[in-house]
Amino acid sequence: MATLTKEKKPTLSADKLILLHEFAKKVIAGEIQPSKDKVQQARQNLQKAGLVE
Amino acid sequence: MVGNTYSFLNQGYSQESDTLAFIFLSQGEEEVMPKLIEYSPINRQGERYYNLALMDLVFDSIEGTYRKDDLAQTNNGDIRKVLYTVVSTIENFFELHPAATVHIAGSDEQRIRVYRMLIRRHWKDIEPIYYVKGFINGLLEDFKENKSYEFSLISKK
Repeated sequence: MATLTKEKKPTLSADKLILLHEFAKKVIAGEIQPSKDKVQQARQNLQKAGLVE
Repeated sequence: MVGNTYSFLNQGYSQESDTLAFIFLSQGEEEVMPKLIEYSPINRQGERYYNLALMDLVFDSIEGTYRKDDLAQTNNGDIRKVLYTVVSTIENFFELHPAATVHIAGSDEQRIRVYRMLIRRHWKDIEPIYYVKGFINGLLEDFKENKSYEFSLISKK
């Protein structure tokens, strides 16, 4: 008779999950600034298209 | 409009930084990778543009905290589900900023291809609601399915 084995997927530890929630709260509260490199890259793209100065 | 998505661990808007953020866990076979979707302002004057960024959140064992990783974007074997999750947030963004334009640039060829595939597959749902433009060869044009754009701009009709 075939047996079914449930594949165990990786999970985050409880400690890391708490730290992730703390980090997420800081992001949402605006305590962690948006990624400057990505915004700068986007601004350069818009400049190439003549959309911003 | 979109397929199977991840649910969000946290999501919210910061008035101070004018940033809309969503955090979810990308579930791979080998690891779980927390990811951040971030809409942040590009300019503060005139027509408003926001950048849509997707990045990994990595654990810094020295600091004992998470941090954004601007460069790494782990491919956990779930790219479609991840990108569907990203697309699912666009509506939330435009509820907040209906007159704004969103800048999207895939970080690598695979993501650009998947973004294009998503737009193509859902074009009949997208077209009545959004303007989609693509930048190619120094020109901005209406989105065409078969072209690979340097970046795309999405705004609400």
